[in-house]
Amino acid sequence: MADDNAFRMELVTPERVLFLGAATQVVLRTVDGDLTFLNGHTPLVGAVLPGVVRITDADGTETRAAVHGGFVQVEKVSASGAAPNPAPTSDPGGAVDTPVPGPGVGTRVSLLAGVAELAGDIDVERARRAAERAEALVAELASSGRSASGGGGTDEPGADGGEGPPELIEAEAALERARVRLEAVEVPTPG
Amino acid sequence: MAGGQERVLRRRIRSVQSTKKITRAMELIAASQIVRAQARIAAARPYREGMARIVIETAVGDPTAAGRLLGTPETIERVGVLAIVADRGLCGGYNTSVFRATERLVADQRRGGAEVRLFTVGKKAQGYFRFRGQAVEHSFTGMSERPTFEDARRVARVVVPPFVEGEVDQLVVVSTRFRSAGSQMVEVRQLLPLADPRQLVGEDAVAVRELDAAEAEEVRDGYTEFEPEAAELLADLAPRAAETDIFGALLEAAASEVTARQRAMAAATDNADELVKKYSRIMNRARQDSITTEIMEIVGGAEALRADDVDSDGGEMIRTAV
Repeated sequence: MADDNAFRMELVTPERVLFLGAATQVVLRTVDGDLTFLNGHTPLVGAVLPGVVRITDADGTETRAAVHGGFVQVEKVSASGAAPNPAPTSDPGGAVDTPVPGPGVGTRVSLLAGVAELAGDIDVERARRAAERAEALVAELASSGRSASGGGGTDEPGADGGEGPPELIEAEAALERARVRLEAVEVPTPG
Repeated sequence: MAGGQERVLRRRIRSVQSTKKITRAMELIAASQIVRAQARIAAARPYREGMARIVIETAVGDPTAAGRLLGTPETIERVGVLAIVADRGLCGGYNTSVFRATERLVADQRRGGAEVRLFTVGKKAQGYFRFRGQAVEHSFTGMSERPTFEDARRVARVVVPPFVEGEVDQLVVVSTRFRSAGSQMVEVRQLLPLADPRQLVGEDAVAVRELDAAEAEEVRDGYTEFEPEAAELLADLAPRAAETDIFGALLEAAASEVTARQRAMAAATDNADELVKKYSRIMNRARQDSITTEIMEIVGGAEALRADDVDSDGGEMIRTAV
């Protein structure tokens, strides 16, 4: 039964819920590398890095999403709260081979992301254009920033090392977002 | 004279009627926006609750990790205040109540010896505080009616760093909470440090709704991994949680704003109806008065003429009689 190793998965952004339902496997990127979640995973709270999240649902189809940073929480919840689908629970045989740890407990994985898109919602053409634009902007700002800091930026001697001007950070973030989007739809990223 | 008054009244009725058309249209627009604003609050709820759960989990998981990120600061020397109002007026006392609460808060903090740094959302705040000679460090506009998460991030990028860098000890938001379509109230809430979940449980908070007893038990009992470790995670989490709270505050303020506007415009439309009724009554009386006067004049004139005739007849009669 595919449902036995299914758990409840939520992918939530502030503006809407992108994915809610049963999943058998979720792969996402954290500071310590890619993590895979299966049913019964230890409770965990973690920071998620920008990257592609892959959700495999009960019948094996994979949902990909571009997630631009966020947090993930794995927790044990009561089965009523975690019921991934309204399957008949009164089935007497079902209770015997239920592999969930203990009666009435299920796993819930919630992934919270400030900005995220499902692969199907991504406009490839637009993402590619955005990537090119951001890349050009980064190159331009990086070069102008170098000359500007060489000219007069004396009051902040350490700032030009890693931080850079806010426009540059913004442009780099935009580039990152565009790359993640393209990765989610499996298009080779430019550069 | 009487005709002149009638004309003046007729003009005024027409003016009130066209104003009424505008207020009626604004009322209908606001009413439709209420539904949308409420839907957006509902859409944001899973994220807000999830964020609250993660904060609770992290804070409870490692109580030593919190530092100054959780709880209520013991001494407040510098405080950041974020006031959220509307970009536009015509919404009854909506803006005024937030201003009043903000001024009270600022005055209280100053009396307590704290230095206040004021941030505002909404165009109306700019004019108000400038007129009062109250320095505003940064004001955001163009987001009050339809705030996006990106807007919330823009605000957070300005108001959160002073706290993270230790320039302010506390960050509070003054805004209107949307409890229900019938009840909105101005509230002062602490944004940072984050509310301590151990104090939060059982009280009114976004986080508590889904944290029923069993689930809270689960949270406390379970052994939870943190990645990165809790202290570091909480430092990452605090700005995100603050920006989520700001987003929530903006959404609720927007819903409250359109509700206030709908109510104000409904009242204005009713008033216009009243005025039209009152003016028409006065106008009709004026018209009848003038008609009556006219009739009186005609009758009087006719009487006078007839009396003249009778007089002259009489005179003749007298004359003939003589």
